[in-house]
Amino acid sequence: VLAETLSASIVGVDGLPVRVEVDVAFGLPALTIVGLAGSQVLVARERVRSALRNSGFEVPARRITINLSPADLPKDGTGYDLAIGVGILAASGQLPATARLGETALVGELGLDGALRPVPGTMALAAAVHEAGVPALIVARPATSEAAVVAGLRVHGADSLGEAVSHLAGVRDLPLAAMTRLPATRGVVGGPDLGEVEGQALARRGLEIALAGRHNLALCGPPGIGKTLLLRCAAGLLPPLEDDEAIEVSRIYSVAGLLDRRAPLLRARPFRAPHHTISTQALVGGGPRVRPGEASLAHRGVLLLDETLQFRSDALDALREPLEGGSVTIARVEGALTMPARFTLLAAFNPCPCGWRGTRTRACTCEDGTARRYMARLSGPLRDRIDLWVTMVQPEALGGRELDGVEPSAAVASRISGAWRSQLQRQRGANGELSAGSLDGDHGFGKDAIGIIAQRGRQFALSPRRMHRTARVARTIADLAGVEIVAREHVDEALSYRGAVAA
Amino acid sequence: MIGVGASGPLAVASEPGGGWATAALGALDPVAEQPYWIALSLVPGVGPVGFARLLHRFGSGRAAWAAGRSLLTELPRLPDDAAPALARLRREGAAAVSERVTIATERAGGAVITALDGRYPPSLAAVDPRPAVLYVAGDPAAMEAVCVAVVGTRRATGYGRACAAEISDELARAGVTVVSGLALGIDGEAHVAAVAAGGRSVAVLPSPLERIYPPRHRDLAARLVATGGALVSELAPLHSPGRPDFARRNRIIAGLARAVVVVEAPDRSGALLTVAAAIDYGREVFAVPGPIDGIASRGCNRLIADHQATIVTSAAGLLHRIGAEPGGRPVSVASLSDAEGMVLNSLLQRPASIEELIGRTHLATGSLASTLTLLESRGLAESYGGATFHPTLVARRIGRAVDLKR
Repeated sequence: VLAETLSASIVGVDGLPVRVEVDVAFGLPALTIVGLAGSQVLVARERVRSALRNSGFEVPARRITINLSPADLPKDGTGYDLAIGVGILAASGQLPATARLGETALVGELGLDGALRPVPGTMALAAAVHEAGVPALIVARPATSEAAVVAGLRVHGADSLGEAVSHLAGVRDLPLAAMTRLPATRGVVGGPDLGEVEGQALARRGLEIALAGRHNLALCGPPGIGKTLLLRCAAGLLPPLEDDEAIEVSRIYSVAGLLDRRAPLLRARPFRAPHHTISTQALVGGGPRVRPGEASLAHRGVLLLDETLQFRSDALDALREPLEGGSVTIARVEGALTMPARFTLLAAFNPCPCGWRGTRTRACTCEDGTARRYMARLSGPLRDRIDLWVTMVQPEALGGRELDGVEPSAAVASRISGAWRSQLQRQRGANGELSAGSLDGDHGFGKDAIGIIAQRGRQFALSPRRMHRTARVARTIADLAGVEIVAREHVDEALSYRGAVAA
Repeated sequence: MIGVGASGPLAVASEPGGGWATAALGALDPVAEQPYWIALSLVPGVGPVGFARLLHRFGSGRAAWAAGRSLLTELPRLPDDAAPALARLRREGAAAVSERVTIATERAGGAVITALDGRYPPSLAAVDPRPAVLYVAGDPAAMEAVCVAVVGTRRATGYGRACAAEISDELARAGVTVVSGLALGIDGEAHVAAVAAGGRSVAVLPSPLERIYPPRHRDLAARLVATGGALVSELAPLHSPGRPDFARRNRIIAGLARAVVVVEAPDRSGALLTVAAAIDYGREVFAVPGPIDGIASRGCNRLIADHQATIVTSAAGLLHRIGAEPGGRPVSVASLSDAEGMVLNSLLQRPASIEELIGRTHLATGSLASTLTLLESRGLAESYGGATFHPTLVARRIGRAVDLKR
């Protein structure tokens, strides 16, 4: 006897509907799962068998074959348990083939006692199910608010296999979950306040521009000068996620299993600061079971690489693709998969291994060659993608600076937010993502601005890519000033962050 | 000058065995002697001192070469490889060796000049001991003019670079040949400024001519030759060790120059070796003072404190001290906005980081950054490493001609 249930699988950060076909036939008792099932799916046999028995059902002493279709897609995870268990019950006649069975997708892991447990990526799975035209979904109760993000999908939460089966059989209905709404505000974001940062006006300005227009920023300076403190302030300066961004980002966090199930929709822009010992896979994603890396977790937000030059060089190189294209592609034997990773890079590093090169009052103890090789860890292509360079210098030895005039985060955040609004109104995207073709009158680039960019490009021997990046930064500086037309002073300020010519 | 050199603390001429001062060079035929001089100079252990002793003992290069192995006993120090190297060179023959070295030198764009040659720099001919053979690319006449050495640390600060450029510019305009060591940092800045001012500059290399050191200054070296300057090396092509020889280079720099200006030197800088040689040769030594809390100028400040060097208070003052007439300089006054004038004026008083300029000018960070780029694009300000800004030479000139302070 053949039965069919619906479930879904995670591919990268997207869901894909999966059909679970169960055939119960005469023969020696056996339970076989086919269809490119990974090791976690294969051991589902034991979990499902126990769960069925402990829920008061019977595991037929027959030859049971389970096929996960599409069969050419590699599947892993424990989310198919419920669909397999229900499929066996339907194929063995313990559950009548109701209309409900045909229109309800089943996602969840089974415990040996028949309890239903949530799985990572529920949000993406629910979205995939909905897109495939399935009207209803049963998930573990804790995961209902995560699944109920998808508008138009009927989501039911069940605590056990038994409850799910009762609902499908029409014996006792599960309650319908209420639609999960986006939080109105991003809530309180941790991290230091700019009001605690002494001096360093140029670096503060650089950070403000970088966050306002989503440009990549590099801070270079001796140890202890405040690079880390300043960049950690970024978390509190970011504007909240837009509605569509919130759903996009929350889905990635759902797949990574990082969501708070009680408040599954994120409003705060991601701020990720991985340690420099991170592996390449953890940074950009990948691994035997592909999971989103830090680059994808920083999607639509900030990726802070403190001590950038201490990161593995292959990890840094792997960031080239997301920095240029806004996504990560992972090639595997079964085919490539793509995950979004459009982040603002904040980099901070010392000028040399000992850290004191170029400072006035302390001797650098590094060999010239060592220092050069150190800086060369930031490869040319990566260097090219950094829009703003700020060299931080120690404040003058004499003459203390008072903290009175220092602007707190709130004031800077409101300027950033204003600049972000003007960008959304003008072009529905960040200045940092403007294409070369958009440097026109519609974007506030008059003849004068284009002319001054070309002239300065010749004077300072800039590559076309650099000139283009300068124009985008100038656009943000004008937005921060609340000006629609880009002027000479905006271009000149943008150029002041162009970075030193390699000495 | 010879007498002065002999009385210096490191003088060798007074030691037993004699020096160049006692050798009768006038009687020797430069052309006939050249192959023997080249061949002898290639023997390990035959340096300026050793060569002087050989001349003193045998009277000529030819006679010393004919003496064979016994010449080695005259040397002040005898490296292990001296005897086998001499045997190899003798098997090849002086004529063949000199031909080979001459061809290699010419291929590197240079010429072999012995101390007997008329083209040998006159200032070097007055020191004792002096290099027996020089390898020179470019115009040796550049070294006949008044030469002043401008030297300093490779790890120069913006202040040091600006000073080196200004001093070198002033010297070059006065017709003085600027001598330095082609190193990164102060040396390079001095060469560049001299060439930019339309002057001549001579680089003494720590490496043979065919292997410019540091490689990053290969283009600069070519520019020096193209603008009437010269490259000088004591090391024969094909016959030098891989490591650059900074000590010998620094002695030649001191020997070539009438005065040595140390622009920036930390505690244990190679530039201080040049100073030691300059004192040895009786050259006048100048040092540019630096801030007392900075490490880059510690060596300079100590030279001044110990009365080993005369303090440099301005490029013009230095020119006056060495007796050169200041050259003409074109002055053009650009029209500056208020903000530009204020920032430039502040920079002319003292180079500063953006951080300091904010404190001084009370401009907003953004407008200050924008103004600095504008000044940079007008060639009035520049930064080294993006941290500290300086007025350019042009700006300093304008600053002197027009009182920007109003």
